[in-house]
Amino acid sequence: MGAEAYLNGILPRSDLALDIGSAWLKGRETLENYHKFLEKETKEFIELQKNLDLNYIFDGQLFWDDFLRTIAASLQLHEEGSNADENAVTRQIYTNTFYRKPSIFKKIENKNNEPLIKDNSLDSIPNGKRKVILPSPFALAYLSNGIHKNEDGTIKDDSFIEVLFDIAQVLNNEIKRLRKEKSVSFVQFNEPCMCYAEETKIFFHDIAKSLQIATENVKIITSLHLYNGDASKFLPDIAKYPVDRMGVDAYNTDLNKFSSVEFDKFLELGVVNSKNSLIEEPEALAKYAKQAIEKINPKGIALVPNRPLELVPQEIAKKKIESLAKAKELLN
Amino acid sequence: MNLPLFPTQEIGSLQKPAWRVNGLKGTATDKDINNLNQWYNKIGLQSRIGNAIKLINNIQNEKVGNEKLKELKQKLKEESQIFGLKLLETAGLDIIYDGEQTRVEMYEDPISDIDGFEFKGIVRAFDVMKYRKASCIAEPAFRLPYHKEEFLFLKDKTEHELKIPITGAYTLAEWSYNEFYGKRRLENASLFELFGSEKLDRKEMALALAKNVIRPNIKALVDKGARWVQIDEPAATTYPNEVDLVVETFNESVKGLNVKASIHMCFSDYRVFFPDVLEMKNCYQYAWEFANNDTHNLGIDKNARNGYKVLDLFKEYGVKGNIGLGVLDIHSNFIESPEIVRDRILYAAKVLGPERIFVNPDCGLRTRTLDVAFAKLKNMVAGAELARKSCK
Repeated sequence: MGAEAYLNGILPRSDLALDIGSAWLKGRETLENYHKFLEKETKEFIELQKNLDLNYIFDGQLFWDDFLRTIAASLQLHEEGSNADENAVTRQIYTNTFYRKPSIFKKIENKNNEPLIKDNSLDSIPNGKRKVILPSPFALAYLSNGIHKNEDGTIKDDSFIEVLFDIAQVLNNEIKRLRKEKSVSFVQFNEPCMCYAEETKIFFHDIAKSLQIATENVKIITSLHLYNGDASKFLPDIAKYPVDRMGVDAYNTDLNKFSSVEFDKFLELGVVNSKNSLIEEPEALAKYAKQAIEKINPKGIALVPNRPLELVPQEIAKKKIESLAKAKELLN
Repeated sequence: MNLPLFPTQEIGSLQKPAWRVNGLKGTATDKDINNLNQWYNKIGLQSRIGNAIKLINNIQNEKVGNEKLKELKQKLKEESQIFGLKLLETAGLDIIYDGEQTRVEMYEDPISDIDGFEFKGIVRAFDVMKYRKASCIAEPAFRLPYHKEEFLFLKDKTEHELKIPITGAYTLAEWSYNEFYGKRRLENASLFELFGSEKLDRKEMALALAKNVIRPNIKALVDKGARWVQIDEPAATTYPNEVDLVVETFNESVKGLNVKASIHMCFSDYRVFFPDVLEMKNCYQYAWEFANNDTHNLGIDKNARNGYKVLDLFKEYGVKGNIGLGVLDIHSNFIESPEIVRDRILYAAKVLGPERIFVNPDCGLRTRTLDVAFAKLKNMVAGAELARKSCK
């Protein structure tokens, strides 16, 4: 069995991009110039992925201020009189990053079917390799305030499920649009909450259904990337989730447990550690892939980062991506 | 020191004034000097205006030699310490420091003075907020007491109680990459040995920082007369299953030291901190952020004060120690009215009793302009006074 390699979440902005962003915040730079710079870096990341022959390519999500924001802003998930950029700043568990907590105070819908994400850079990615990354319906519902939560922040069961499915429906419309208008081949749902949220076990089957809703009636490769905790605790049922591929964080997941169940999916092995500046040796990554193939026997295997690479400086991220690509070469 | 009911306190950093930032670079403008004049008049530092401007001008003088330049820059930093101290005094706070005017920021500054770390580059925290991040490349070791000079300079400059913020061991570890312990453990590891390795590595680094670096630093401050240190642990609830390590590093950091030690945490899911919080030894105060999640409505019922729900857990678990109640949202220019502040305090007093409540911003106000920060702080002080009157 050969191996694939690709990326799976927000990539880091360069030091200069961060400086320009900071200057914009202080009124010393225009938003237009800041965005032009991010567009330039987006192109560079797409070229890097092309040059390294990664199997699927995404735009790097450099415009995403957090992994929910673009969707939260498009769906107007904020309190009246504010905007998504003013929602409460909340620490993202497992990292020193923050997100703005979306507010869901009415039924989630996208009446006019407006695009939810910026998609102009997809055209520069070869057909058949275009990948889009979205938050999972559960992550968006779980990390939001609103009608589906009680005063103390706990979940109201019925309305939570309704919100979960509504999110799934609007994501499904967006995925259909991206498939039809932009020939996107691959959609990945980032799922940073399931592994640590105590409520996961209550909504386990509803989460599965939400993924089914989000991907139904669209011919596209689907993936769920589980990070921020141990995905093995959901075995064997998680192996039956309605996605083609499943990503795991090898540093936080007991992969031994995967070897004792039937795992009839493509395994996305998160072995490039986005929380450490150590550059993984391609040989070590290739070794990990071989060990996974031998013991877990998945339908296929892809080497990926364990979490989005935004957690390391851009230069280090690039080295890690190169290492990933070299490991793929060693395996094929 | 006698403190009133609902003592008011700062929690961390203030923005550095432009005359200080540009002054150190030798690029201060007329606008910066005008701003200095305005602020110094506002906070009763008129007698220091001449000296401050002279310092800025001397730094700009190209003929100054390197040694003299270094000395002038140090003096300008000290000037901004006095400015920070006086700004907080003028706002009316009871417990103060200098707005961390000599520190770059809460991570980069201490890490620069600890052996065993190397900076790797800049990463984003959120939106366009960023910080320089280092990696642990050898066992962390004490190099120097990095807050001692700052404290010595301040200690006789005010009659107010001083609370010295110091970044905690756990946060320093969590915010750093971990090449040293990571490399050692992963050499020749199989795929199946990666599981759990990060946590073990982080534990080794955090405990080494607590014992080798933070405790000697606090001791150096105590030896010079410090009475209260605030251990800043914004990373405390990063991993819900690792809060025990935060507690362990806190206890290790203050072990055997005769000092009032408190902990500040922010922007976290505080629920995960219970029940481990009960294992903290002699924690004088838990200063947490609340206003960030609260409404702007007046009232002391649960609906109006939905940002303060976690206070119930303190009661439920019987946690001893005082509460540093965040009543100002530091991510917004919204100026909280004294009445909102009052109601936030009264709600907390209703849940936990008034004697345990200290009043502060959610976190350091460095993300706000000095004008906004000052207006917020003044209203915080006025709100505490209103709350006192309500309790009479």
